Amino acid sequence: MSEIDKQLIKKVKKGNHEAFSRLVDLYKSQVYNICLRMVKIPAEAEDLAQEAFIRAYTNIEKYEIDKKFSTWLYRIATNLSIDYLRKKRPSVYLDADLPGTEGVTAQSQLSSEEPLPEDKLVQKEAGESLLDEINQLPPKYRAALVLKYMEDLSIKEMSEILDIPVPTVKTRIHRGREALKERLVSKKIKR
Amino acid sequence: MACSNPINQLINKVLDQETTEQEYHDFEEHILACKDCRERFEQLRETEQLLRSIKKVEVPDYFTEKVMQQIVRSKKESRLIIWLKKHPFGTAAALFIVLMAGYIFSLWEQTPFHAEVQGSGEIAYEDHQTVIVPKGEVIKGDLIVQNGKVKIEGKVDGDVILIHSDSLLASAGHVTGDIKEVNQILEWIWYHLKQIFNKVFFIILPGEKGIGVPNPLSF
Repeated sequence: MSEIDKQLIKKVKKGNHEAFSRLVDLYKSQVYNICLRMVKIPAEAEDLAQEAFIRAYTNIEKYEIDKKFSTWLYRIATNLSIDYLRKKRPSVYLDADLPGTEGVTAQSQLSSEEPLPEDKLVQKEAGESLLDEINQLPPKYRAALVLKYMEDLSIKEMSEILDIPVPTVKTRIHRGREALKERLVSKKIKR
Repeated sequence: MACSNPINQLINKVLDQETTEQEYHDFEEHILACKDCRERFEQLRETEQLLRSIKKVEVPDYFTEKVMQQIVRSKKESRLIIWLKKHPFGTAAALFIVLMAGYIFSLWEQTPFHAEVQGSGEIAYEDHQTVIVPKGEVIKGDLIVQNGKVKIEGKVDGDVILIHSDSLLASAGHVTGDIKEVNQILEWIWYHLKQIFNKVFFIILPGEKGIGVPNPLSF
């Protein structure tokens, strides 16, 4: 936890507004991008990011000063995004674990024979379609990939943000990575 | 997928950069021999590269300002709520005081007309609001009137206590004691506390005789 954050938070706790607006400036990019990658729609992401900061402000008393502020803040943002997705889209994800099973997904049930692509998946114009594919993943896998690859966070931090044990974080990264790979490969095949 | 689960786990370990030297060696050996696993590994690594290549989007300029505006707007309410949450006993006490004050105030406003002689002597009633000390009558003791009016034509050999009441034609000559007007709610509360105290502990002051309270509806 940086010394600057600590000083600013002490001021915020005393009711200093200016200090909080500096914290917003410091973290708005990360928070907004986490929300954006989670929900995809920029306007919704903006609302969620703002809500995350407002909640951080109103609950600042609950924040423990010896912990990393960014971890706490990202946790609020991730939870808000996941809640939003839960309410907004209660659809079934092909990659989600089927009820009562571990590691068995609807997708693996649908296609038992996996296509073997001959060429590589990297394309220069992958940008938008990649985001679309990420957006098709179940929120818990999406959150794991966003935090690891876009925010470049450690497994330990991710475990605190997502409030799950370290091995579960790893499993989610592995499954998310695997699911995304499958999507990209099958897309490449179809074209 | 031809290869076993341990190899898949090993591939994930390599991607997560968590392998020991020996494990990495095993992995390399397998990859060289197994085309499927090599392909799989390449695809996963490319997926990772794609994920890392996603660029961050610029936050709109007005973002911070908008957050701060909403904070200022909700600040007053939330401060009160925070205070209330932090001080449960304070909240309970405040609530109690508000309710008590309301209750006492309603008692103060709604207490019916009531007159009482503490001592000896007769009083008469003129209407639902007015009590009269008739001519020639001498009241030995105190006269207490609540929420009404009093006309003193005779004599009061003691105090006249007017609670939220008015005295008509009361000339000082007819009252030997004081005319006390209890018009403030706090005085009224204090007066009642003294009354309750007396009732609870059965303290009867010398010279005080219980005289029946006249029922204002009986005339």
